[in-house]
Amino acid sequence: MKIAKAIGSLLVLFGLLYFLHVSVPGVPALGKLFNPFSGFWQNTERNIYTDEEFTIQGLKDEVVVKYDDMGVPHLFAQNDEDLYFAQGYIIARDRLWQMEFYTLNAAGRLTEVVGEAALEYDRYNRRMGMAQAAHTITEKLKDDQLSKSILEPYAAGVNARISELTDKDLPIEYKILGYKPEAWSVEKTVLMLMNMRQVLNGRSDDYRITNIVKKYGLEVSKDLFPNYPEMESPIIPVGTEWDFSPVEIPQVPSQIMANGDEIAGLNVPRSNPNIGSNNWAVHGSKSATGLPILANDPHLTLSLPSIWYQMQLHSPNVNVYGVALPGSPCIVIGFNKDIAWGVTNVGSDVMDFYKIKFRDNSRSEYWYEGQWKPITKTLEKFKLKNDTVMVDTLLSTHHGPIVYNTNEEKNFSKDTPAGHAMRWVALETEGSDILTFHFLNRAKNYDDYRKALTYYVAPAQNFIFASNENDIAITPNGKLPLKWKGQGKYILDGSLASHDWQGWIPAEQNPHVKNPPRGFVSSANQSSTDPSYPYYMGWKYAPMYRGARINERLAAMQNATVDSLRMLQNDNFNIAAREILPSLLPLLNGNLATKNNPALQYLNEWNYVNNAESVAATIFENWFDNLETAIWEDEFSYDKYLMYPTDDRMFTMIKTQPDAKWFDNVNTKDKKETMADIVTSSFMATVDTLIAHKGKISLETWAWYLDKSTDIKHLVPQLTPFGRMDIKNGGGNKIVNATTNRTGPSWRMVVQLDKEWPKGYGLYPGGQSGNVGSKNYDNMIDKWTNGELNELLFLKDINETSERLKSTVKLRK
Amino acid sequence: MLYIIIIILGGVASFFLPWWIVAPVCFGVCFWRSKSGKSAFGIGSAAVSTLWLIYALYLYFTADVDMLLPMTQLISGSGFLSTFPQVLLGFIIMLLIAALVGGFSGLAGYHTGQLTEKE
Repeated sequence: MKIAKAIGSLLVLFGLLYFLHVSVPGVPALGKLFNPFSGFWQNTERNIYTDEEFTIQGLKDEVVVKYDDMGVPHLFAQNDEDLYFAQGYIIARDRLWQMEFYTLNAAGRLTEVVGEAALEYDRYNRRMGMAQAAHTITEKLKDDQLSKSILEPYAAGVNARISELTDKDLPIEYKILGYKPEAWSVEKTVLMLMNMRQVLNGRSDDYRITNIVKKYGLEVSKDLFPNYPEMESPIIPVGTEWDFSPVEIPQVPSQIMANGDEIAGLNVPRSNPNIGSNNWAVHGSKSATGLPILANDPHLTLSLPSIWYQMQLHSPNVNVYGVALPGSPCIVIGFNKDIAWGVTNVGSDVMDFYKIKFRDNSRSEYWYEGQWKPITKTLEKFKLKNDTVMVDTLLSTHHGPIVYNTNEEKNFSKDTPAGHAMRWVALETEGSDILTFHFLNRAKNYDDYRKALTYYVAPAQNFIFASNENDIAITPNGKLPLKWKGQGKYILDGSLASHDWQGWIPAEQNPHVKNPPRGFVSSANQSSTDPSYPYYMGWKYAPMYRGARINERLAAMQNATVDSLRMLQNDNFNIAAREILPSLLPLLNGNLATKNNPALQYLNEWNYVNNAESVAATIFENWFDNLETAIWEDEFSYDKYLMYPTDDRMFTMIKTQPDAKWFDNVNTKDKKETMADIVTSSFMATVDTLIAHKGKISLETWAWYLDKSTDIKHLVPQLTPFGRMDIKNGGGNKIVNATTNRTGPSWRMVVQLDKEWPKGYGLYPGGQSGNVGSKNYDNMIDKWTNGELNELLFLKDINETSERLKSTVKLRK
Repeated sequence: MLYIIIIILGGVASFFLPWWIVAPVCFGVCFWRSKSGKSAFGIGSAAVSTLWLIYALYLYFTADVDMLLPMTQLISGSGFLSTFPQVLLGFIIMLLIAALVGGFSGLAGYHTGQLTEKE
């Protein structure tokens, strides 16, 4: 009996401890997490601004880090290697979990931390070939001494931080998900950058538009999906002369796409109109100071911890302030004494698909230029949380990886065709993107800027520039494939050499403009150039709304100040509404069924501004989406692997082709709808839905910010309490202030250049710390919401004092 | 007395060793000297609860930011538990864990100790 009691009580005890100590997917280990000695309590912070000294192996000299009142570290190193070492160390102090999370994502290894739920997602990412490409890039970088001298100290710095951590110091996410950080490496930094390549370049509509040709013919595709929009305000101003003689441009072959009538359904995300960015710079001739002012706000999926990390990097060779990407050395967007620069994404077509003819079901060979070529097969292993290993076979051609295998694929029906290889710029393994930023950080003038850009590969960015020599410039820059006109708009034929990418546009011939007569440069992801540019870059860019609005405001602006550019970043004017409502509203005002509708009165009286409180914006934005659906869904459904024509094409049709056959809803057999029918019915349906969800129309319940409901979620969205929900601000996806429900300006910066010392302003919707237990986790969100900026503390040298400096951390060798 | 010993030994050990070190401490103390299963359970659970509560209260009240709230919300989700005051619930969850771990360690210590007693 005694033995039974002893054994019984021990079993209960061990069972209890096991349950409290081991996490399973979805249930954290409660004992580990809630005990005050090593659980989350240890992640609470107090007295964060205390002077400290650490001895760190790997440093050559002492590095001094001064923290300001926003928690921004100002690093003072005595050589560049120490600077990058300290950058890695300091970022890891604030953002370690986040930086590793990005690399696990790009490498397709999330199963290891969240379990089988992520398997399909991981499998997709591995089939994209990013992990393999990152590995090859890392190998090649070993021969690049300069890149090595940046990346290796950075990795060593991160590792110095990791080695300091005991269980109780681990960032809270590790404690919740139940794993520990791995050692950092150069490859992890490359994976982090690969993550950005995917976010910004990893989408395609190629198979959708190909399906449209298969279904409706090439003429319809040319008509509804033209290569250049009707309304546009391109990044390189119309009329800019091309100061180079182009290399030979490949002839358009007789066959421009893959043969066959089948409808393809590739597992690739479609283009996302919500991810984009703005930047602009005004010349001294337009500014109050007589020298340029530069602004940039990259729009990404908003997250906590914040995407960016502010810091100042100072060594005998450099003094720069700006934002870094956690996991990657250098400053990516920022300024130094002489110049400022920023980036927005280039929407060129850098992801193409090739239909592959396999010899047989073994998929070991494919047809290319009259012979069978071998397929490369590699095995990918997925480790699940319980240490089970799953294996997937990746197939690869000379074009690139096969992204889609029939039968095994769960997401699409079995009758869709197999074998599409992908050629994607993100998998290019030459070059070293990081050198571009290394040199931009040190650039003194326009020539330095131009030289820095030549190192850059992907994702292509509109690099904007301003200097205190009164130069402004913009360059859509990156490796851009040399294509025949229209190449890769449709799925290509993988057996034809003429469908291969034909090389690259020479880097110095990338579109570019310096000091244009209009006195400003700008970009908002719209077309890089007008059709006069000799090379073909792609057919579809972001809609022109933001770009056009920025350009009309800047054209009208004189004596621009930091504040006028800040206000432009927060501009909520809705160009789409101004362009299309005058054509739509008369149809509603002239219709007995709608003319007395109170919602219509809001639209009639609207000033086209998407302010937070606007009711009209709620009506317009919902109606706009419904109108698009009403016109296109019957013939161009995304669910049927097709796509809608652009807004621009829809506007042209509404304004000039009211009798177009596309207005008719083909699903109503006995009725032929006119444009007026569709406009009216979609408006009434919108109002009915809004009333059903929000009740009777009122300023309180129909306000735009409530409808838009901007959320800044944690990177693991399931950690809901770590996010900030229902932000009260205006904007929208067609608006310069591009805040949507999940995306928006992830960093806003305005820099006033100066002969003596520049003034920088900026903030992001989050904070410096990645720790939800820190007051610097989300402390900038309220100011961001209100459209304010913080003055950035850019110190001249280590001796400069400021009341804003709160603590000094010394890193001793 | 046993109560104080567990708090002191458990507290010191917990600073240097994994969180579950309080279990062997309770086990050992109750193995060494305790009157009955009931009292071993009671002393163990009271001692660990006290130890955890005092340290947690200190951390809670000195912290810059209330981290207990989001952590408890994470456990509560949007279900039934989310209707309770979350900070209080967070302390209750912690105390429940402490009480169970301390209690069962003490109980197991007592019963194992009984094996060595002569009839």
